[in-house]
Amino acid sequence: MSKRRLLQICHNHPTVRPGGAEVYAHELHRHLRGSEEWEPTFLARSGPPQSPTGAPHDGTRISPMAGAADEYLIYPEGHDFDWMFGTMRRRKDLYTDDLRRFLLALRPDVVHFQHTLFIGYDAIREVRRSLPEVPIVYTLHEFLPICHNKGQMVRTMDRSLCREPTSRRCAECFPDIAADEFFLRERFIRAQLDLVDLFIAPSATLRDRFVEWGIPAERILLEDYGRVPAPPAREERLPPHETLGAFGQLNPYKGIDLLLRAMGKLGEGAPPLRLHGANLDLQEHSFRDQVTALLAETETVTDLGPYPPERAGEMMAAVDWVVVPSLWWENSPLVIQEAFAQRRPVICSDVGGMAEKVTDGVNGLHFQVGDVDSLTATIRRAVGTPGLWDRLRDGIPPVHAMADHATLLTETYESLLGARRTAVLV
Amino acid sequence: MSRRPRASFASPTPSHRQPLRRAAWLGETVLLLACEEGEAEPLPEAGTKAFAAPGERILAVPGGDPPGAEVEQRLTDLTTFLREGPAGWDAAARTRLLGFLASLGAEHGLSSSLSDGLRQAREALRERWPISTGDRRTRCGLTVDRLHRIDECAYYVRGRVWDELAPIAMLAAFSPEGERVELQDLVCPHPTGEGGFAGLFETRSPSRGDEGWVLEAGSGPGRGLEISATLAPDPLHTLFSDTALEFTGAEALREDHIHPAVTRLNELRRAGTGIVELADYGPVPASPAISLVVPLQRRLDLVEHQMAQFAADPEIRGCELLYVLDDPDQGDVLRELGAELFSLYGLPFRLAALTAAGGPAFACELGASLTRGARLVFLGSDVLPDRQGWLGAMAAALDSNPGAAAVTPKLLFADGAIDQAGLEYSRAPSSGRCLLRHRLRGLHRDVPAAAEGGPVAAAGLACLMIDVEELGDAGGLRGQYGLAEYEGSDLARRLSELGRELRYVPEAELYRLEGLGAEPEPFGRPYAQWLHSRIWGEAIAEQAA
Repeated sequence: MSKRRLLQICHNHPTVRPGGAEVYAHELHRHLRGSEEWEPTFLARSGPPQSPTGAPHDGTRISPMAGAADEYLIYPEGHDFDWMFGTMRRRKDLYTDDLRRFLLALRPDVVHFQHTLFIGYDAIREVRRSLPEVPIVYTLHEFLPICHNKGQMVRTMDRSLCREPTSRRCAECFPDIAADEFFLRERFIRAQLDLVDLFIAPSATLRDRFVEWGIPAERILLEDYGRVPAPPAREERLPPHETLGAFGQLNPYKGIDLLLRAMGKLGEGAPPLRLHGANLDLQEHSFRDQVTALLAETETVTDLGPYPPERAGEMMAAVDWVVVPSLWWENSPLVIQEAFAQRRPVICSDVGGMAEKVTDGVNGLHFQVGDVDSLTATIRRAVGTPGLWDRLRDGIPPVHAMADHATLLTETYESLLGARRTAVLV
Repeated sequence: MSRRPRASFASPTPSHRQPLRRAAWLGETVLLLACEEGEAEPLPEAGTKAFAAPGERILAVPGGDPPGAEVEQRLTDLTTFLREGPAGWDAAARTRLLGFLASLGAEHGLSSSLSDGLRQAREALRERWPISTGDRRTRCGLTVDRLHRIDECAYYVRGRVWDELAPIAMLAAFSPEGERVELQDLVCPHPTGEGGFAGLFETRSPSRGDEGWVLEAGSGPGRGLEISATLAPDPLHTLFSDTALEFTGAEALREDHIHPAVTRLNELRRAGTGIVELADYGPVPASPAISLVVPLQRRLDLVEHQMAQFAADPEIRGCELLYVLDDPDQGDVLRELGAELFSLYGLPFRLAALTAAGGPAFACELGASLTRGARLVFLGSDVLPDRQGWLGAMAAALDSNPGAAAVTPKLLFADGAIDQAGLEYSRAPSSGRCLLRHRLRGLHRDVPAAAEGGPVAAAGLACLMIDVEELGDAGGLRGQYGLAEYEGSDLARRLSELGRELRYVPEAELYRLEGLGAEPEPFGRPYAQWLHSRIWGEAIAEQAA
């Protein structure tokens, strides 16, 4: 029997921009290369502004990625992307020409959207139009369909958490945009997402929010990211267990400024912090200046810059505690999985996907989200309480293995294939 | 170098007995001949007009055959022609001559060169006054805030004239072609300040161009001022603004000046607006039961948003969907967008465009003329259905109520509150004017009153289902208000006169997103209110009480 074909569509390629969703999606793709039943193809968006070069061949905006027969890049010409509505406003031929020809040539059995940012929700409609019998799966990585503020569900005026995303409140966050535009946005995005057969939510936080938003609960599968864990550190960390580590994007929602302020409050007795942050250069000037100033004020912080995903384990192994101080809800942060894979307890905000994945007092510690005093006290407690590190480390659960994850996904694809065929026949 | 068609000039031998004194071209097609005063005699050729003045007789001969030798000998330039005769006449005679010359535009067609010639004559002959600075601190002055063309012989003016020493005795407008119109008894007071005036006036002869008007005012012999004026664009804006003013005499301004002006503009717009088909996408049903007509104004992107909602609706797939562009300049853009959207959404639809911007009622009316269904739905481009089934619910209500000519759904704001459950009438406490109100506006969509279907006083065009035959019987949409709600109400009143009712259908729920700015700003609301009250005030007085 020939293999079934799976097409994953992702908003970036991890070699272009190593974000969490991209890294996970590509790991899944690589894992499925070894499958006896499934033949994966990975289509990732590329081109400006993330990548300086555009489509290499005239007449098509989809080209194979160098060196990989099962990986393609799509170049949607980012300047035409409408952030508000998540669509190519003027160049619909990206879908009806380039993507359609690609889909009809590839003839996948299942299309799994890992993201539609920069590509557009219309891609879902094109899949449904070109391949009506093919199941469409869509993994939810953050709240972008719900929230125009980069999908963070954080209010723009004070970075407080948003719990009630209505058109009127969205217009409060973006005073230059009428409330009716937000209603229109919601209706447009929802109309495209209605074509999806199954959503995957890596956290209950995300699932519950989308159920509140209107996606029927039975159409959302709660399934955490599977990971291919890095091998655990060979050498055990010796006491005192006081070295902190922070990893990931340096943007206003990740709370790095909060962590640096806490380090400042800890004063001369502050523990060492190894900071592995990326993309500060992409942030607004005011935030960059703020972080730069805070870094200059905190002597025990070592700014080590970004790290390649494959070295995450190594970097984690060099610290005792991993701090996740995000000001937004988070989904299922890969950094927590990576920390747990290295058996490192996590200090994190007490909301959303962080609180869901880290159990306070069992495998990590919670602090009140956005509260610098609470974070300061929690760090002090972590590094100053004898035996706490060992106890929390013993409570760390095993990481969800990619093999198990892929098995569940492919079983789900099979199930959807049967249901879709039935639906089309009916 | 002269551009005159000398080779085709008029009669070479004017058959007058009086000696020819001089001749000059007025523009390229009219020859002026000045003859000695004498007994009236037959005019030399068809189309020639004569003006009798003290001391000489002036003939205006239309262009045609080449001039004769006698004329060639006496030919001079226009300025010299006027200086050697009419310039020495008294003011009244000169004004009469200018009126005579201006009338040539109506006689022979006001070409650009004739207009230029007439303006040259006016400058040579008209009485001149000191130019007003318009400074409000001076004791006397004259200003023109707005001067608009309504049609080629009608104008709306708004200005101010004052003289602290004597009452204003004269106010007049000179067209660029030299016709003088006395405004004193024509215009109304206007509350822009002391001496404010506004009004509609007409010239006997047409005028070209936007520049070259002169207004003059005087308070006694030798005491006058003048000011030049240029025609301003967008007369409706001024007319609608003036409609909203309340002052003693406001009703006369509205009734005698604004209303005739707006009516004329609407007539011109209607006469000058047609509809052209832009494209059909996909297999549009040949004999649809229902045709949806969606006027498009500013936001072409709303087509895509409706497509996203309509694409999965089986009821709409069975209908004819026609978008009517009210902005002809965007026709190419819309055609390109339409092709892409059809390719992506697969929902058949049609595109048409008005040949000139005409407003939503024109777009609906002219769009309806292209449709094939026996039943119409007028739908705003800023209206999105809450869920499928709305068309069926409206059609069922229409079918099951023999007395109903049209039905309207529940329209919601984005937050789910009711925008309108039909329209109703009320009376303005201050003016007593009948107003149009959105029924149940602001209440929760599930409020018990909103769940009761039945007859309502009126409905707008945001979503209105009506059979083509009923629409025709009622006289269609008239396009005289500019606002879709008032057009709809006017239609409802005419249906009512025919004994037909309009019903509200609560089962059909749609969102109307007024905040998108899909339609032009309703700055004409005061006029629409006034006109609606003028036409229907008595008929709806009881309902509005």
